[in-house]
Formats: sequence, C-alpha cells, structure tokens
Amino acid sequence: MAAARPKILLTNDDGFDALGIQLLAAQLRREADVYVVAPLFNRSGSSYALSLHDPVPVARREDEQLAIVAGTPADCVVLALHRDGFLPWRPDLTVAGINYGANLGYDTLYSGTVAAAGESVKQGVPAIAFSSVCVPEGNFPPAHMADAAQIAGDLVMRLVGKLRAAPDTLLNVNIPALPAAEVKPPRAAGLKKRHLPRPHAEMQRDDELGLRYYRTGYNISMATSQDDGLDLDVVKQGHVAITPLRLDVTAHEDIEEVGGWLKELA
Amino acid sequence: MRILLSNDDGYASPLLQALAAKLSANHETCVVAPLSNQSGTSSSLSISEPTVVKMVDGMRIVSGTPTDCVHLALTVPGILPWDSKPDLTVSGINLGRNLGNDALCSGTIAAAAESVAYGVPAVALSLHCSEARAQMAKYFDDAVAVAHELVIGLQDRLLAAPGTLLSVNLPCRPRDEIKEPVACRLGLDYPMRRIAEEPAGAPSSAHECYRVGELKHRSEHEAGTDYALLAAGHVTITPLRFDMTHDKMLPAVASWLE
Repeated sequence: MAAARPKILLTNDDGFDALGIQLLAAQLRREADVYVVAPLFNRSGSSYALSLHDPVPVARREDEQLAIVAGTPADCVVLALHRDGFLPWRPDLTVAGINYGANLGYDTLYSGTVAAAGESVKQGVPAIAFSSVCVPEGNFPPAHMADAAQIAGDLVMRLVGKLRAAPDTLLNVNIPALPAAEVKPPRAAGLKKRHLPRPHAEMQRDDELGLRYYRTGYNISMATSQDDGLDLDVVKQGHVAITPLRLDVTAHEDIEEVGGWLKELA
Repeated sequence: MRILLSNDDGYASPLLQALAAKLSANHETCVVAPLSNQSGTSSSLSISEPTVVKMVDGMRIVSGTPTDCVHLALTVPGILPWDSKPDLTVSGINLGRNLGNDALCSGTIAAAAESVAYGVPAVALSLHCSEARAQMAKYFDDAVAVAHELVIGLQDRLLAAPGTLLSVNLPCRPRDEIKEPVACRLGLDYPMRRIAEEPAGAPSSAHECYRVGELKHRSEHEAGTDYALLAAGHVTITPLRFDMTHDKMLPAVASWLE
C-alpha cells in the first residue's frame, strides 16, 4: 500500500501572495496535502510576535485550502494549531517559506519565517523554515525561486519520515539563489556566531523638534564570511545549509555559576 | 556605570521610571524605550518601515519595538549621550512575569538579548502580579528596591562577563516576604493558548475573527523551574543564551542528509 500523503501546514512571513510561498505550495501539492495559513501583508522581522492587543481577522478561501490572516506569522501557526477545527486535519509537518532573503546566523531570531516554524514545534508538529539567499550578495530579490521551490519540495519529501519520528525537530534551511543544477548538496551547519552589522540610514533629522528618522536595513552583510563551516560559509559555497534549532534558551551551563554569584550577595 | 534602560511596556511605565530614577542617583543612565506598549513583540525588528526617535533629556522615545530601541542605541552613533558603549543594559521592570514559555515572546527579554548580541551584558526584570494590578501597586516600591539592589550587587560579575543575559522575575509582595534569589532554568511545557472568536473585529460577516489570548498555564509546575520557584516566593534568575543552534542535533541531521 502506498504511504499516505503527508499533511502539511504551509506559512511564511512575506505574505500569502509572495512568489516564494506560491511556488512552494504548488510544488508540495504534487505529493502532499497542503493547507496554507499565511499573513495578509509582509511581516518580515516579526520574530515570535503575537497580536495580543488586537483582534485577528481571517479570510478563508476553502477551494484553495488557504486562510489569509491579518496578523503575524506566529499568529498564523497559533491559530492553526491552538484553535480546534481551524485546519481540516492535524498536520504532520509545518513548512515556512520560501522566504525572500537569507535567515542566517543571529538573524534567525528576528525572522518571522523561523519563528512560525518554532511556534509549530512547541505544539509537537515538526517544522522546516526555508529561505532563499542572494548569491552574490545584494542581488535582491533572490532569483531562481522556482529552482528553490523544487529543492525545498524534494527536501521536505526526503525528510518528512525522519521528522515525524522526531517531532521536536526545528530545521532552518537556507538555499542559495542559483539554478538548481548549480546548487550543491545540503550540509548540516551551525549558525554563525558573530553578530554581523546591519545597515542603517538616517532618513531625516529635525533637531529643533528633537526628531530623527531611521531605516533599518534588511540584510546582514555576507562580506565577512570565513571558512568556518557555519551556515553563512556553507551557503556562500553554494550548498544548501541546514541548521537544527533549539527553543530552550536557558543557558543551562551557566546556572551553577550564576548561583555562585547570588551566594556572594547573601 | 553607564546604564542603558529600556522596556516593552512603553517609556511612561512607572516601574521603568522609578528604576531609572533610583539607578541615576549613582550612575549615568539613558532611557531608550518604546512610545507605546509593545508587550508580546518578541525580537521584532522594524525593517519594513522607518523608526522615529524623539530625543529628550536623559531619554529617547522610539516609535518601534524594544529590539529597535536597543538596536538603534547600540549601533547608531549619537542616540546615546555617551561616546562609548554603555556598561550594562537593564530592561524593565516589566508589569507581568516573563517565565519559561513566554521567554521567546517577551519584548522585555528581547531588548536584553539584543544588547548582549552587541556585547553589552543585560538584565531583564519582570514583576509577577498575582492579583489585580490596582491591589499590587502598593508593592511596586519594594520591587524597585529589590531589583536595584540586585543589579548593583551583580554589576562586577556582569561587567566581567559581557556575554551574560539574565532574566529576573520578582514576586510582587511586601519586601520582607520576598525570598532570596535563586538561579534556575526556564520551565517549558508549551501549554495551549486561549483563542476566542471575536466576530466584532471582523471586517465583514464573510470573515472569521479571533482573539489570540494568554497561555492556559498548568496548575502544577516541575520542581526547579522558574515557575515553581517564583510561585514559592523567590526571586528567580535564569541565564539565557540566544544562539539557537541545537548543537546536539547536528550529527543526527548530518546523518539524515547522507
């Protein structure tokens, strides 16, 4: 008997109509049942933010297996997994993306794409976040999104069995924006540790009123990469980089030392 | 010390202002805090719209998230009144606890995490109000005093270890009923959230509409977690690390790819 088609919750942070999620939905639907629950607007950089102060309207397109949520990526996953009956079934897997632009190193913390995946793992549904990385840098938006969707779809079908068996797994996947034939095989890699500088622009300044206007840049610089086998390095070499992430931010190794500091206070 | 102060409840929070006033008696302080309540914004960074900073005496009011506040303060010259980085960042005191399951969602903790990412050690402070806030306000002075003592008491240790991020939760009680601080782990049991229908918020009858609510906390918590120790009346202190690589899982994932 053929294995049942996987049931996949698909979301993103760029908005339901972004090319990355549209192409990925089409790719995944060849071999899986997919329900899309995605934000109405671009919510890049929203991390684990939830709309706790406002009602969250949802527009449903049942014929497209699509729910459009006027909220954050984390709202999408919380509604889908915490609200009985929101989805037609409990998913085997949550997929987020494909994000426009890298989610590498410390940037994974700001990412709504990665947070949506993390929110899923909290409820016992394993998750993969996909992002497309401009190579070379600055070539935004990333090209070859259809190639990335094919690579992502293949990876999902290849890993879904492993993930079902390890439901606390959260994977962050970065795909170089290259033609599929030029993308090298996936490699497991840690997040780059150093916090890379982000570009800022002072847009306007009014010293009489004491007002300053800043725009925070989208992408970290990739120029400082070293040959260290971490995610940024691996993806710059043309590989797909896959990083398992943990949700417990306790610095377990430091508890005893901090306990010692507190004894000194007593 | 030069101390950067921030929070997620907004610059006008009496708990932030009281702590800033107390710290500024013996230290140089600058408050860089959001204009409006940003609770639950996590590590959101405003990359899709500009952020306005209003420069006021001893204070910067920011039209963004807690992460924006600390990010701009530490990376854009001229936001802080000093020509060098601050020695320490203090975030809070937040009105409401930030324990285990809320650690990733909290703007208070996110502001502190952003500071540590740029090499400035940080303490996030949150106050657990177990009853209606109006009944609790009489204990705010005690909480500010305890928080202040703790920050000053730990300053040498923090300055010597700039990668340190501490999340502190304080019980809201009379000072003599607050038990000694304990270093502990986050309690993570991932309860469900309350999701209520809210038809009044829908733009039309064709839309669904929901209110994303609080976590439905379990009544029992594992011994040794921040939940259990705070409930027992202790100040809880959890060291955090926001490098999220799951190092132990790397070999397994590598084997899946073979």
